[in-house]
Amino acid sequence: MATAADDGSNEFATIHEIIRAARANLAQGAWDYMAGASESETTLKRNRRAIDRLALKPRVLRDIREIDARVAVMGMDLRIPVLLAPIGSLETFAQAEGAAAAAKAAEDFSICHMLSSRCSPGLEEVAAAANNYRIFQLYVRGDDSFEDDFARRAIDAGYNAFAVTVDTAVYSRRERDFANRFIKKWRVDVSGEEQDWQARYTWDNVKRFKDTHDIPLIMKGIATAEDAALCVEHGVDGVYVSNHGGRQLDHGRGSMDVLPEVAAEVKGKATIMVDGGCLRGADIVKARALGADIVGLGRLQCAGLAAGGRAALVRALEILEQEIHIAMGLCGAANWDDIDKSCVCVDTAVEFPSVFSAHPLLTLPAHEY
Amino acid sequence: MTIEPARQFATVHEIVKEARKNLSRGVWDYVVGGTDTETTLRRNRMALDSIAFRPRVMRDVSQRTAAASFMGRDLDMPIVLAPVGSLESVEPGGGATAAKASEIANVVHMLSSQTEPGLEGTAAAADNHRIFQLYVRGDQAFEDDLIKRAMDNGYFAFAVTVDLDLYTRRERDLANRHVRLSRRKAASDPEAYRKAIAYQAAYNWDNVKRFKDTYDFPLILKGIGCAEDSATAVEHGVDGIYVTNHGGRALDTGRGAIETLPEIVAEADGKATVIYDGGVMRGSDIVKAMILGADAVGVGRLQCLGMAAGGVPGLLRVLELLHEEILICLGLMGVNGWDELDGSFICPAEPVTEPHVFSQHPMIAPDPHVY
Repeated sequence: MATAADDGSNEFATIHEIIRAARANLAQGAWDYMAGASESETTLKRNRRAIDRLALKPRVLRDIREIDARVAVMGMDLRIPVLLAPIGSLETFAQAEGAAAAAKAAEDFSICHMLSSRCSPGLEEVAAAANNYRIFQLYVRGDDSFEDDFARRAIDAGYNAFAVTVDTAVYSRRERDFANRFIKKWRVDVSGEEQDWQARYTWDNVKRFKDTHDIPLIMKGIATAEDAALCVEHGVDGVYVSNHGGRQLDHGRGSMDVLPEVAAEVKGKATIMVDGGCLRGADIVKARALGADIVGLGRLQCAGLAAGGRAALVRALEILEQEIHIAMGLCGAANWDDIDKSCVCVDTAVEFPSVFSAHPLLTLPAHEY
Repeated sequence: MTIEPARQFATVHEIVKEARKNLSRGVWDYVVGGTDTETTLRRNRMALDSIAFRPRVMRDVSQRTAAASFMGRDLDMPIVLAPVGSLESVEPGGGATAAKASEIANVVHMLSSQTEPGLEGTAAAADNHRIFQLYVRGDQAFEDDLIKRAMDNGYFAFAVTVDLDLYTRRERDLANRHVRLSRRKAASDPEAYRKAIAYQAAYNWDNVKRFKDTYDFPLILKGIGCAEDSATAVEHGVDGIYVTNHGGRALDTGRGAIETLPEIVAEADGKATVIYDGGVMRGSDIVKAMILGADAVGVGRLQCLGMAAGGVPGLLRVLELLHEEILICLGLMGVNGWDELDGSFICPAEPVTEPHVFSQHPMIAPDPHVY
């Protein structure tokens, strides 16, 4: 098992330092676009709260000399159960390389990168940049032929699966962006008519996709057992539990609060992905315990890329892996077979959460007008 | 009447900031403060923050509308500009400003009997949906007079406030030595005031019965806070039950208003219209109250802040932002309108923010009043 050196030789000893470097490198507008969420940012905070209220239960006197955090999922053999979540405009954080930097980091670390359709460079260029596990994620901005075109191109470019985001039927109010008068050119491009395709997207479209294309389909943005059941009914291959990092519906539930009911409904008939507030190895262990197969990283991915491109993102993953190994080991688990619901219980959260409250040595000033 | 909303304000944060600039410390604290420890005020927020949405996806939400019918009126959204006393201290137009905004936005304005330019003056200012709200400060003849005048001036319902039998200690006002116009008038003749306020304290269900027996005019009781009083209101044929704790300005250490809504709605059982207020600062708050059975939702402090920031255009901008937030919330919940919502769309959740008057607008730092 690869172990990160703790002798001070690494530029970044902790994720605190990565986030701090990201803050220093980003302009206020880009930072707030990344750190912020919609309206009161309650959903964002609930993501963290839902993780914070779970306690891990340590088990002792088990042989954990060889800890293995690898998972095999959707035909991918991942070093840790982590997915670089799709982020629009990754070029804002990874400078010239854009989404290609994330793809390369995914190859370096043998994890999966899910590419957002609102990124540059686009589908083919990112695929050409790295030999990694990759999934393409689509915002629906056109009719069936629009979707078909992307599906075919994703298949041709070797994407392992195709995700459609479904929690963006309407675009939310991200008030930090308003406060900063931050113009998102990737949003300015979207006409009302294009956004309307997303509003009109229904389960009929899912059925049509499954009947038309031979590529695993993931619905990203499932937040109830009811919709998870509909996913299974429609033969969806991946159920991605997410509230878009708190950036869409405000006052929703934390993802980790949603996960158990979704897992109970899916019962192994689809791959389960989850994201929302995961910033520590222990968070990933909790998600696995509650039934997730893979965990998406959004803001941590941005912070890594902004702190130092591909290398800093790989460093963040290395720290995360170390934390995963520690949490697994102290829970008495040598591999994921030993992690299940019995490893966690509900306890009381000990602080009001905020976007990076999982890294408490870091003091970031509140955004005030 | 056409007046454009003040769109230079991108968010409510900016409206609050402008309002703070325009108001004296005394008026600001009168608007944002509550009673005693301000616990009820904070509980209003805490209770709303203890509810989470369960959004549904892929349901074609291209035909969203916030329109609602309320007491026979077709509104663009189920909002009542809640009655606020001394509105003229917030913005010179007082009740007339709120009335004009309610006409343009096609929502209801409920006029407080303690606000200028009074019943007739406010009615003359706009062709809006209007309700008159009374503080009982006199005998039967006093009440009868106002009821007749309300009917004559196009008010479509009559509300009697019942949660302020005793005027409370708003300690920010005491700290600021802030005395409102209506209370200055009262103070000029303490004996008359003592007698006047005694009528409010003596007001009881017999008065409600007499009102219903005497007038063919929808009656709303404002300040119902539990199932028992909701049941009694229904028994008396009351038309509207207004669930409120006066924005945390009446009884302190009461329950958050949204916590009381389900039991009150259960007793009302469709026999009375239910209005909710308390802590409403976002479109999502309105959606929660509607899911829990409200027919319309009152907006108090936000109304004041919009007016203070920019008169009619400022208040219109507040209403426009609420409308936008409602439509976003409905769309992201997977519904096109109010009828499609039910209890399955919400569930309990832990609050994640220390509640205060502006905690739903986290870019506004709390503004503690320091002596």
